[in-house]
Amino acid sequence: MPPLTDRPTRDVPEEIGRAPTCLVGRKHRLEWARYRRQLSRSSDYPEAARGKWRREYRRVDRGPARQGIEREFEELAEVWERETAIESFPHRKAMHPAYQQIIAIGPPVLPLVLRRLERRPGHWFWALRVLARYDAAAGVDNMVDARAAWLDWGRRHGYLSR
Amino acid sequence: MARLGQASRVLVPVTPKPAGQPELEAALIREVVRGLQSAPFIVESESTSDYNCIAWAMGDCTRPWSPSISGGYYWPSDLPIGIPAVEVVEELFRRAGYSAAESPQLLPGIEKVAIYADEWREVRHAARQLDDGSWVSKMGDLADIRHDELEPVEGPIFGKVVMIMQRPRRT
Repeated sequence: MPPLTDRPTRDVPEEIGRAPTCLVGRKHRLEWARYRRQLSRSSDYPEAARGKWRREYRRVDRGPARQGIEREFEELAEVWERETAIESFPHRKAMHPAYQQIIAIGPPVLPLVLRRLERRPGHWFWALRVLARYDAAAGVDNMVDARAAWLDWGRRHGYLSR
Repeated sequence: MARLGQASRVLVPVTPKPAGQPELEAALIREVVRGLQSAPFIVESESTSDYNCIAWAMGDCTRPWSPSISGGYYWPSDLPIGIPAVEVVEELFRRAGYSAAESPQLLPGIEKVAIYADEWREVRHAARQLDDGSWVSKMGDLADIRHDELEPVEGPIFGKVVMIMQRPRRT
């Protein structure tokens, strides 16, 4: 298999979308596209996704790119919380550009969202559901129990320390 | 019958936590709701995301009522999820015993709610009338407040009052 850097750009389908801004450089973008493509073809998506996301997170966690993600996430989260605090419904909060940008960062932001939710309550369930492609709070009708369900999920899957 | 079981939960009397810093809470609200910069209101709770305006209009401060795609919010399973249209929220209040009212004027023994919506008839807010004629509103994730008139809460964020509903006041 040729190294990733030698693969032509046309291998990346348009529908995959842009890589997070923290993943700079052609190599990172191609890696990002490749693993998302593999995930989308997997017959056992949730399990494959969890393993792959964790590996991706650890890889990014080691370098300066990780600090870029954290900084970007915290800035976006502050803007989002401040500007949507008055909104009464979660779909309006989720449509805020900062929230959409957080989701667009992709799987590496998942542990950061969980850590923020661990620090204080918030309407992160929509983003978590999209990022994890799973709803740990399905059927839960209140914020306290939904938060507990997601934090428990995060600990069980290695995104949060126990 | 499941619906009756869920509805009975809102009758459990639970009181919101009082505001630790009411002046700060009031300043946060005045910053975003311009009509309240000149109209008087009283902060009655701390900021919390545990419930929202629809919940508080229903008398429930234990969970947010919202037609959300994700868990963490209460919504009757047989009502549409997604965007809360006026007709859907009207049906929600009808199930709680409310019917259409002509005006927000205080009537003895009657409890009224005001539904706010934008020009696309998406519900943005709800307020409940107390027995002294004032209204209580949960302001998003900020505090809940008591205000004398419905108009100061109107504006680009919450839209305008599009419907008043009423039911016999429960003790």
